Amino acid sequence: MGKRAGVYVSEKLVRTVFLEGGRWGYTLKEVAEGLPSAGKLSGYSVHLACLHTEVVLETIEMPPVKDERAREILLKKHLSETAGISEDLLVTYREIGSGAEGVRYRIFGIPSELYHRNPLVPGWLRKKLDLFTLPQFAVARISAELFPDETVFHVYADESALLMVVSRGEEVIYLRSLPVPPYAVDEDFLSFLRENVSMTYLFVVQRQSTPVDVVLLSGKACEGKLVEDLTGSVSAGIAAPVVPPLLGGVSPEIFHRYLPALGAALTEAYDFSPPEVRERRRSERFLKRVTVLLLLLLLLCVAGVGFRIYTLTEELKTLRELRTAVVRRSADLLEDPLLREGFFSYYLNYVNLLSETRRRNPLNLLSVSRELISQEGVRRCVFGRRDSRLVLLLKVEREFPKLSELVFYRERILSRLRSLEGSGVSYRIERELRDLKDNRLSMEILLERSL
Amino acid sequence: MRLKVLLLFLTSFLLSWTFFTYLKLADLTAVLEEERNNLLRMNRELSFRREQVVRLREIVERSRIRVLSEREALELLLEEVDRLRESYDLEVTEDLRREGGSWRIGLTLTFSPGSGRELALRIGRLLEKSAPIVDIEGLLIDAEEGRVSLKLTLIQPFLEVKG
Repeated sequence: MGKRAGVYVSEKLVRTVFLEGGRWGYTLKEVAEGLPSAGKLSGYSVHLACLHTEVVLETIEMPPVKDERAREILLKKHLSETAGISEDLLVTYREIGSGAEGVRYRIFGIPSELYHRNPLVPGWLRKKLDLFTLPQFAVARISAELFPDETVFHVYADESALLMVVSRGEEVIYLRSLPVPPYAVDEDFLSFLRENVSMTYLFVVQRQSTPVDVVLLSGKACEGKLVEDLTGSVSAGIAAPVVPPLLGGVSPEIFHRYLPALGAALTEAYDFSPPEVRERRRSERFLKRVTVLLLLLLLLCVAGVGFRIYTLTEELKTLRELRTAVVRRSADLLEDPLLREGFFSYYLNYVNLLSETRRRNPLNLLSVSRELISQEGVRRCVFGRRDSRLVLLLKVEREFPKLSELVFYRERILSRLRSLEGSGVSYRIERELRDLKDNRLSMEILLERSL
Repeated sequence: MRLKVLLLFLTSFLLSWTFFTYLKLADLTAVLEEERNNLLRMNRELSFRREQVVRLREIVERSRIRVLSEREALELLLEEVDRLRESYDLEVTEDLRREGGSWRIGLTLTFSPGSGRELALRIGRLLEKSAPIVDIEGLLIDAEEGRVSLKLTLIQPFLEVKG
């Protein structure tokens, strides 16, 4: 919601309120009579309500135009033609429906001099403005806050002017404002109020056919006997506005005294600022948002960089530790006497040679051929190496008393050989002689295993 | 307005610079991570090498391998030949030669074992030797004549002094 300053300026009065937005609404921080300094207003969104009683109000119908700038130019042109006004106007308008010729707009106009050459609004203040409106619309904002769904006839009076605004929600339907004449300041103020309010009320209800639900009397209008005087002539309920819940820390007295300034601070509608100023404000707002976004991104990036630096520091620490460990391990290893110049390869070659000779030892076949060798009748065993194989040549010769023993013996030998299958040893019977007459068996068996 | 534009420009510049720094730091982190991985790999490699060295030392100690000079190796080999000559009928089949970083001699040992146990003991004793290394090339067991012939090469490595 932010911080807002509402300034109400008339020829006789300058009243300022400072509001600070919170979660549930605004809190009044300060009020001031007179213009605050530029420094005091810095940081606040400044909304100014400058009193001007002669407001041009017209209802215009024209074909719909999408472009905002073009629409405003066309509306101004229509307004000059229908109202017969030749001077340069600042306008604000609301779409209120559609008619035969297109969209119907309610348009309010004020002389552009009120903005550009207003002696009540100094140049520095004009540059700081975020919204330029009239107190009539500020008063309507308070009506909308209190009775959002009712048609309100709001009467506000102070030392400068009498403001009468008919509105429903935020939409201003009709307004009439009068400066307080010198004769009415002291004595005839009540009769001045009574006459003008009664007359305007009747005009609104009867001529404009606008049914009024509530008549609100605020400022000096609720101080005297105006309520009693109006009771007979006004059919709607009459009330004095109370402080709306949106505003915190505001007493009823302050509320009535600073009502236009408070309304101006709250309102965001009916801005009479010239189009180029609105354009500039939009650009500034855009710039501000982009800057904020970029600053947020910058913050994120800075946090990212911080995180990266932290990670890098940790990484460097780990690296240092690892490097130390590597250096220490390398040094330990190099200090080992086994690794002295030439010694390592000597030992390694020695051990490799030792294990190689053991691997290539033909007697390794003993483990698989033990049962075969221990058979009776084995005359000769030759262990050796042939190419890349370990070989064992067995020569078996035996005489048997019976043929059956020969057959069984042979079967036993063959069975032993078959049992070698799967152990990586292959066998071949090189020569076999069976003398069945003398029951003699002679065999030469070759066992082989790859190295 | 100008101040705001200047602020926006400055913020954009700072943002770009910070973002660029962030990216550069990310690159640097990646490089350091790679370096860390290399060091970890190196550390693992060193541990592995250390284990290999420890294993090698165990084998060296178990096999009682000593560093010998060329001359010491030759003396040890010839002493072994003399020792074998006492227990076996010994025939030199390949003359003494220097091959690579070792001395070699080819022998045939013939003997008549009294029993299979004696045969096993003798062969076992030969196989146990690591200085010199006994490379058994062949074994002939003639059961009819009760003789055993062993063809082997004695190998004694030595430390080569370069230069």
